[in-house]
Amino acid sequence: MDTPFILTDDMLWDLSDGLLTEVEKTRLEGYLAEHPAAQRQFQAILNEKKHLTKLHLEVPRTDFSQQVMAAWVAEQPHLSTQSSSSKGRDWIFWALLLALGLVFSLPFWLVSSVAPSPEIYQIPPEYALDFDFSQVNISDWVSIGWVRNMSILLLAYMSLMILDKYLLLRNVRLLG
Amino acid sequence: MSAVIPDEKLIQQAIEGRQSAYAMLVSRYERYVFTLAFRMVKNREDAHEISQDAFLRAFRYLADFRGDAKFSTWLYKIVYSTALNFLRKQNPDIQSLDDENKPLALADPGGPDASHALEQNDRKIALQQAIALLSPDDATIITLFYLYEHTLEEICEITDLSMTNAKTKLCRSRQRLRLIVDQHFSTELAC
Repeated sequence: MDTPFILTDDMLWDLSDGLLTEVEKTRLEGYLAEHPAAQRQFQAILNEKKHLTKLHLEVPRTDFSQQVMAAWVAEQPHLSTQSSSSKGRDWIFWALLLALGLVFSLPFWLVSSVAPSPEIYQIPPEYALDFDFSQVNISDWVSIGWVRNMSILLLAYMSLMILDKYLLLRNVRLLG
Repeated sequence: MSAVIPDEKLIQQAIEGRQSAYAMLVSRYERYVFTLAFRMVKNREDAHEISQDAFLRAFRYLADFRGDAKFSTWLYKIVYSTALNFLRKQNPDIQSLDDENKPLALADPGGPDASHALEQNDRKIALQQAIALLSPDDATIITLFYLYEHTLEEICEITDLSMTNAKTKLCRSRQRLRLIVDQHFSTELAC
């Protein structure tokens, strides 16, 4: 036994909003085709919906965009008006980093130059340096505990600085 | 005729640090964001503050936007949660943002429909004013569904409602809107 069909405004709204299942939609459209009064009711709902979709948007203050951008720029140090001087500081930072890197890689370079090398890799005497590397005892230096620990800490710090700089340039903050 | 730059491209440019991309996103969405905030808090000054906060939050976390939903959906979710937090700070005792507990006196479906007698222009004005009288949740769902043409799935994402709840709320919001129009604005037709 079929359930009696009772038309409600909500059903017509659901039809206009596309929220009915295919079965419900077919049944309702069939009912509308046979009942002109219901068709008029549906048309009134379609008009109402047209009004709702055409309501005007509220308008913020005329300087709203500028205020938002000003607040955003104030949060971003790399977008500040002193960007040219900060670029100068960036160059100094990278130069210092390079210098420190050379200083810390120097012992390892010197140690490797002391080790005996095969004859084919030996530098001809006319090109050899005057400095006698055999006199330098690098291993004594790197075996000192505090020198070794400080070197590791400094290398770790430099790595974090480079990472922070990279991430800042990528517009991401690690520490909020 | 200038081509409209898609949101995805603007977002990518903004993440790369182009300030103009941020500015374009603001100008593209400022009215939508402000309207949604205003419909929730019913006050222009508060709506400005909420809109600005929402844009700044969106820009802070722009790199986290994965693009699996529309940018507008993601942005409106931020607006909605910012406005919600604002309302809760103002009224910590608030349990619900809609009129769930208020009885909804529906018009007699068989009786004469006074609202249809309003002129079409007046009808639009009446609807605009009636939405301002709805509760924040009702106004939000009506705005998102009809004015912004979001689907129910998108509305669920923005408001954290289930599909069933969203559909029920939409139905009730429409009924309340109609009731407000009938009660507050249909007496004008007698003049």
